[in-house]
Amino acid sequence: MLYSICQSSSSSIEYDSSFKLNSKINGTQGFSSEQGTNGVTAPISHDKSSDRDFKKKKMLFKHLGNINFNCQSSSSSSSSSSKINGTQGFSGEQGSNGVAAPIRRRMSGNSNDLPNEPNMSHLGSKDYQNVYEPAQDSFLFIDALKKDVEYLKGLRPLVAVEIGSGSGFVISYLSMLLNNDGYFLSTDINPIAAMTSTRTATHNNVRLDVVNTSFLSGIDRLLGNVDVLLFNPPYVPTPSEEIEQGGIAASWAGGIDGREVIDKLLPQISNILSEKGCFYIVLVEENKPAEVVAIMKKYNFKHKVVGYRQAFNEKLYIVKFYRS
Amino acid sequence: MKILTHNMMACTKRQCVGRGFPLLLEVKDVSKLEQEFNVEFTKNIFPKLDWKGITMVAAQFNLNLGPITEKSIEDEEFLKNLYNLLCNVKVMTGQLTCPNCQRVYPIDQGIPNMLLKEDEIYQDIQPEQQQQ
Repeated sequence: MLYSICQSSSSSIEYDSSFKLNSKINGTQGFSSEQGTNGVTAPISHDKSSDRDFKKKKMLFKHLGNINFNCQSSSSSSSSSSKINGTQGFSGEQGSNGVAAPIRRRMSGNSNDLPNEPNMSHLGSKDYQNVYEPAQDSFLFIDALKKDVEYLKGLRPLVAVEIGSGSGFVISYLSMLLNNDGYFLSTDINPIAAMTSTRTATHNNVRLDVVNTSFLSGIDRLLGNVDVLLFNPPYVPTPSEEIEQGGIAASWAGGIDGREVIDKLLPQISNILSEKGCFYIVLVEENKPAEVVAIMKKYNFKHKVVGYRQAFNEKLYIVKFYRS
Repeated sequence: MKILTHNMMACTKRQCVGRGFPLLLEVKDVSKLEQEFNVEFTKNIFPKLDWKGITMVAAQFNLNLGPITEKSIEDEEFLKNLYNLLCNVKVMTGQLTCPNCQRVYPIDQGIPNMLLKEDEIYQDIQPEQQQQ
């Protein structure tokens, strides 16, 4: 059954590209309606309440810019499609695994007795002023983990870690997926996010330990012992200074190409992971995923795209890196 | 913070690399968890543990693990006690102190804060560098 999904995926990627402009236009509509819903509840003076969709909004702003660019530079459809083919290179390489799932906010039915997404009813809009609210990237991430469950279970992970766990949505899901069997730990540089991760875990009967730190600093003895590492980085391209803002900005501000935080972690991966360890990361097109893959290849990591989705104007990838 | 996490931790300062553990643990408030004993897990985590840290913390909780040898890994009673210490004791409030530089890291609501201030990272190395 999986195979058939994979088969259809390659064609659906092309399908995506053929109406790229359309989807962008849809995206802009989505954007304005998004703003509408947010704007209604959030008066302009409440800057913070609009921050919660920043990771998304920042991307949309960027894409709005791209649309103008497209209109000016490419009058013919062939030139725009060649640009699209260029961006396709990455997912194309992966062949059958660039799984293009339809956009959906919630996970579909519980077909294989696998757990559904974590229950987040304990958090409200007030919490999401300080912590990134699970959005399309988070949903794609847990979808990808769910699809990769056989691999994950086969790994028999002893230690599973998420860096920058934010609301705790993804690491809690991984723990649920693996029947809470193992040692689950997460870190976040934002103290409120660290607390929120704990609350989410508790709310879902997950025994998660959380440390308020940057990456894995202060947990040195984990190095070389991590079997599954998860990272949904701050991937939004921003000016470099925004990275240092702290608070919720740490959940989205990624500096140049959205890669500055990612690039700090990549050289550490081979020291963090155990011999059998694997690393899942969320990337967007702007991060130049093919470059990330090339960097990891230097450290002898193979890769597999375990999730792909175009959500609003984000082209999201979940990429898994592993040694063998 | 579970004791297992404590066992994985070390001081974040650069000059303490390799010397910043086990962190001295001061406990104000502790919570007992009730996870079921998992033999496989305990056996697998066994070789990764720092025993100096384990014995230090065990003594603090008045837990006598007995002599620890290579054969301990086959001793079910030992493993059970070890598991309870590692996974069922959660420090909610307290602090961690680096044995090398004495830096104190607070634990609040079960979460240790290992973040250093920017100027702390090289704090004790900088004077030497400046002299050069």
